[in-house]
Amino acid sequence: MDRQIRVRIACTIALLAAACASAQAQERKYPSRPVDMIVNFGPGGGADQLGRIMSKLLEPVLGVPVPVSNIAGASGNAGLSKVLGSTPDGYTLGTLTGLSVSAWAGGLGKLQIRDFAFIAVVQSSPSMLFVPNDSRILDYRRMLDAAKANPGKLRVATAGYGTLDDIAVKFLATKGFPMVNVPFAKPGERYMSPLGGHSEILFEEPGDVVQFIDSKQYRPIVVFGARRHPAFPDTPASGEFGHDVDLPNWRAIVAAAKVPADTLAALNAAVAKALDSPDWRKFCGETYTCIERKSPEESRQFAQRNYDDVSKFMKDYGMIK
Amino acid sequence: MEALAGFANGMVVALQPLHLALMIVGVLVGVIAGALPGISFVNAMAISLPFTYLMSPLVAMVFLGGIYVGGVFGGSISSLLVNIPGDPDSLPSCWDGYPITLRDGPERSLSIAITASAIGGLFSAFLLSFASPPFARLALSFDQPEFFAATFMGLVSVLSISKGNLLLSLLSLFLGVAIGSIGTDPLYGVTRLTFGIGLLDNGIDFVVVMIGLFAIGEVIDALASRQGYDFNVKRKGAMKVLGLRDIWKLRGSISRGTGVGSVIGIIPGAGAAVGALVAYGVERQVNRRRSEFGTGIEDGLAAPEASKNATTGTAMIPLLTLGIPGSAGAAIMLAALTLHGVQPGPLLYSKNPEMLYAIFASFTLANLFMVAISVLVARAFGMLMKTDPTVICAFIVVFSVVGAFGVRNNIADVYICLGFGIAGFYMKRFGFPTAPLVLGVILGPLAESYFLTSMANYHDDLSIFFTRPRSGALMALAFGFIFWALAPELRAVWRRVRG
Amino acid sequence: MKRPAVTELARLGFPLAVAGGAWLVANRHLAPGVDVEAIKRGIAGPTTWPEVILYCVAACACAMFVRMLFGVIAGARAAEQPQAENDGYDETRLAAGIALLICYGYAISAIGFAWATLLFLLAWMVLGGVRRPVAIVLTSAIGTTALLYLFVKVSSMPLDRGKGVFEQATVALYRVLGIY
Repeated sequence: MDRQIRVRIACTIALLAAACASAQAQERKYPSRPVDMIVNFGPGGGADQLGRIMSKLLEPVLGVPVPVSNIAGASGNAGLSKVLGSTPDGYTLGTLTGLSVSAWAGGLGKLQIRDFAFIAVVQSSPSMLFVPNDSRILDYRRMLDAAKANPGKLRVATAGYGTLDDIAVKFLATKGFPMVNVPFAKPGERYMSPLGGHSEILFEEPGDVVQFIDSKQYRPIVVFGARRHPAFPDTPASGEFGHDVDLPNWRAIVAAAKVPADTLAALNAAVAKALDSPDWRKFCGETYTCIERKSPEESRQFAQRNYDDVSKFMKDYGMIK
Repeated sequence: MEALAGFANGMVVALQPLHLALMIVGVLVGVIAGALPGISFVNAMAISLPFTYLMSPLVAMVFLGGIYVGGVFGGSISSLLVNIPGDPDSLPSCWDGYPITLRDGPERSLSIAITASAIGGLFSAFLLSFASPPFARLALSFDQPEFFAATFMGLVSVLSISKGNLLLSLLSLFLGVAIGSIGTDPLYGVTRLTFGIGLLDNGIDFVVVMIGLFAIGEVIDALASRQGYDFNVKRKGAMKVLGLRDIWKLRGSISRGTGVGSVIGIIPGAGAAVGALVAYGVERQVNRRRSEFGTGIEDGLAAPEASKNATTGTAMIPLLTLGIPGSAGAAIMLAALTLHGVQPGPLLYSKNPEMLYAIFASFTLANLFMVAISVLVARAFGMLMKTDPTVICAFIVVFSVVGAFGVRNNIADVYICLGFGIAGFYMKRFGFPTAPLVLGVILGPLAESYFLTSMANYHDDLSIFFTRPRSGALMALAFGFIFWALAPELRAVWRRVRG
Repeated sequence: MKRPAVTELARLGFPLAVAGGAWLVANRHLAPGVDVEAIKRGIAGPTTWPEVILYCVAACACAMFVRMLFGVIAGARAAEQPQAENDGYDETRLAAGIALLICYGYAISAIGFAWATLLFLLAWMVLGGVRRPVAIVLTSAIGTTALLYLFVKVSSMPLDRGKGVFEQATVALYRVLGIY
């Protein structure tokens, strides 16, 4: 009996040694095993859609599986920490959203832009205000009038305090249109609130409420930024009212900053190919998030600029010191 | 009439071999995942998501719906066979279910559970099929104060599960709520109670706590116990669906459970676990034999079983009619639909009613097939339990660890789970109640966010919980329960003071 | 006669310790370094909820202490008694089991899920008193392999692969098993 075990153990060790040797040989070509795609929010949201579509498009390009895993928590920081904590060998990618970056600006966690290698910023969406279709608030102008006439009466359903949503509400308050920020822990609850008549206005990016726009439950009344969005030609931009506040929510594919340069180049090329596919064009069109192609360097600068903008707003409005 | 015709057409589609086969596979996956301590059916649904890329949207929904329906029941199999809840929603089934297993054999408890679950599930599937629009309106009329009041009801039900020592149970509940508030707060993004430990930033998920306390804790107990440990319970008779006479005897608890579950299902964020807990609490307050609860009262098993499966159908109503997911499981289905470019919501009704009715029909069928599949899985499970308990324990630990990890794919959750396992063992050893703690961890975070949002929405008016009619009614009920439960204690104190 | 007195005292200490702990945490460790008052909107800030709850914990514990001290309610004492003083546990095995669980948790991140699970299954069965070595080795090896196929290959869960050389060993194992 004993000898049998010893033989077995010896066999196993020999097998493993051989495997190690062959593994070493294979390790030269990237990628030679599955590449993990870490989505830093739970299933069902915008980051999840991006991760899953990207995984589907990257698999044929890279020639290996790209399994998606959701690591939600702490405004997206949990998943990003996992990206940084894994071996920087290009086998762990992650989604990074403007939402998390504004949370950093608000002082949450210790992550920084420079911790990440930006493969590309692939989506950017304007922020908009919506009202239920049968709302008495017919347009942005009338919303502003109502806010001025009844300070603190209009309620805006948002994703929380210290977010882009919060900045928008505070910005309007400084312009003389005070409204109440009603934060919700879960998107579903937030969408229900104005629909049920429990609050009046919804702050959201259009891609997350497509089903409500298409089914005429919600209608947009303003897009924040200088220019109108091509998909909503009838919806005025806040810039037309002198409200110069641009609050895009963008999404990027990132890796840890320490990933070797040639691996990054391979990843860039792969993502570029994915972005050229008709599937991607369809996806970004449907979610109103198409943007011009950005190089890694442009992407990093874009993220940094966004961080600086948000920090400035937060300082101006006393949200951070 | 139109709905009936639509449903009949849907049934034809749902009975097509491919749809039927994948639904059955889904239910099977769900029941097994649910039954394995540690692995939750939400895990299984998230894991199955990539497989649905290859399917049509309808097939994906049929498959995921199968996992959902099967999974919500599956957890009860391990609750009833080994007294370890396979899923959080099966925790209340341990309290009266396992004593029934010990007294009358697992066949009796499983029969009650399966029958009650199937009735609850079927009723809920019918609501989904024929009453979606009014239920959707009902869902929209609820606001945060109502959600808070419902959660408060759930917290009050702790009074019903305290065995003799009310203060100790309350202490355990509050500790649980405090544990649930660890980590980043839901609205401000401030990290609290982490003592500088980064692993706690993401907070403590109730699934992880439950796996630790009940699965790992039980395993430690089995390993260290001197008198030997056996998971194999004696069979006494055959497993079967309950006869009409038995169902008639349980009609009260099953219908109350079904009612509670159907309404809780439409509350976003609540789900099957909350449904089962509240149903048990309500049953414990209104049942004629409430004082005997915990000793194997059949109503005490039937109510939470009916309730948790009654949440499955109605949780789909906000998803399919409004595009709003009502539970973690429904959120995964939303992800599957959007991946296929299908936007759930009112448009689905006008654009693609065939698909909708096929989903309804498939949900109904899934509840029927769940019965047969659960019986098979329970048999297999019973057989597995005959192996050496040490080996079973070893694998329970591994499944627990993987399950805890899988909640958020985070290694911190594994440490937390093991920590709660060790704590759970000592709590059991020294007679500190664990169930209220889990209740607190489940409901605490919900209560906090509902409370904070209510305050923001209603200008910091605390009376809002009592002045809104629905929320006021729920609060009145909850306070009624509190006085009811406290009455004997107060009377004792009064007598003492006087005498 | 001495022991009960000592345990009685120890039991009185429990609610006191809980109350003190809760009080301390509520006052010192809610969210150190965050100016809660500055970011608070309305009546409820980010720490209001846990703070109130911790005071509830403390209040409950104090009430328990008082009740235990005076034995206000007759008959409640029996319910409060811990189940048994010597409750039939093998203390050595208990300590070893707990140590093994802690090691397993640590090992998953250090040497990876695959190897940690194999070693854990081996050790647990030895500890649990399974006698036949062949059974132990076979069960662990086959069990681990099956779990790896289920969770890594089929479910593609991002289970830890370990650090440094252990990550390579895990990757090598996955390649041998055909998972990668």
